[in-house]
This record gives sequence, C-alpha cells and structure tokens, in this order.
Amino acid sequence: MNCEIEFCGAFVCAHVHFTIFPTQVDGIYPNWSCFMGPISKPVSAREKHYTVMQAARRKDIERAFGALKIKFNILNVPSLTPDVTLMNRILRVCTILHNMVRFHAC
Amino acid sequence: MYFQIVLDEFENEYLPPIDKELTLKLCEMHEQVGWPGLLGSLDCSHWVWSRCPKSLHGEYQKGTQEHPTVVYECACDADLRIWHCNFALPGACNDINVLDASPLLDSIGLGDTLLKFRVEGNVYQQPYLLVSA
Repeated sequence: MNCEIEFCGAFVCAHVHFTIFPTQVDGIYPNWSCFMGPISKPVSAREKHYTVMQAARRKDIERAFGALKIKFNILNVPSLTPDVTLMNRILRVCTILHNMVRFHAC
Repeated sequence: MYFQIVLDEFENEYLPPIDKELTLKLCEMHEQVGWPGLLGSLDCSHWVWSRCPKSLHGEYQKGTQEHPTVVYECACDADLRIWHCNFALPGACNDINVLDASPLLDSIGLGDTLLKFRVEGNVYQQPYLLVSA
C-alpha cells in the first residue's frame, strides 16, 4: 500500500536540523498529532499529491452532512423549539436512524 | 416519547462512544481504502435556531450570522457512517471551542484510541482524523 502520509523524519532547512516535520493544518484547527489538515502551500509533487488525496477523503464528512440533511429535512430548516436539549435529542435520533440506513442498506 | 425510545434502545448499538474495538474497526476499514490509521473526517455544522430566547442571542449569534445557530460536530468514516456526534454548543463558538468541549478529543487525550499501525515502514501509534479549514 503506497500512502503519502509519511511525515516523520529528519530534514535540514537553512542549516537547522529539524526532527519533526511540521504537519500543517490549514485554517483554525489546532496543530495536534491527532489531526491531519491539508498543506496550505504544497511545493513538491509528494505534498501536492497528499493535499489532493486528503481533500478527496475529507469530502466524506461533507457528503455525510448532505446525506443527513437531505434525509431529515428538520435539520435543514430553522428549529422551532425553544428547548435546546430537545434539539440535541432530535439530532442524535436522526444520526442513529441515518446509521441504521447505512448499516442495513448494503 | 419516540425520541427517548430510540435513544434508549439503539444508542449503544449505533452511536457508541469511541473505544478500542471501534478504533480497530475504523482503522481496518480505512486501511482498505488506502489510509492506515485513519479514524475518519471531522467537521462542524450549524443549525439555525429561530426560537432562541433574546437573552441568549449574544451567545448563539456570531456577528457575521443573520440568525442564532447551534453548532454540532460530527465525525464519519468512509462509508458515511457517523460514529461521533456532539451537540449543544452556542453558534458563536468557533471550531476550536467546539473541539475543546468535545468528548471525542477527551477520549483521544486519555489514550483510548492508541493503536499501532504501520505506514511505509514507520510505526505510529496515534490514529488521526482529517480536518479542513
């Protein structure tokens, strides 16, 4: 399996020896080891390939939001309840039903 | 109520908190699509709350937004199954505040998801999530 996510290793930049590759997280997400964001200005072919592949896989969550909202239109229209815990329950129930559909569809 | 029945009956099966077993399942699944060690993609979305009390507008409405919103955070896998869902943060919070209150990040920080995996000969032990701007 050939994955372009090899980011550990030493490299030398401007006569300074770095041991950890900076995993650049675009935008406001913090730079933590459990997050992998896109590289904002990819230079090498390796970085460009990684950014494209990362965006292709990250699209899943946008697709999931789309699938959830098209299935349950209540999440798409403004909520009419003044109770925020009820909204929490509605969202969790919609997510559970969505998971059921995904699980039993294929 | 219908909500309560669904939550009581099926929450443990279809929306459980993340643990070793679920981590292993997600990593195995994503290894088949070419991402070893991947847990899923994480993002936040807003839900407009039109009956928000006036007293809470400062908390739930950002300056750039027209209406008060409630923000929720979801994480899904490659099969579009949403395995994490966190809700009820004010819409004025940005994604850093949402992550700060997230039980998922608490689990990751406590080491519930540590798992050894191998990428191009290197061994890593922190499974990761894909995030966007």
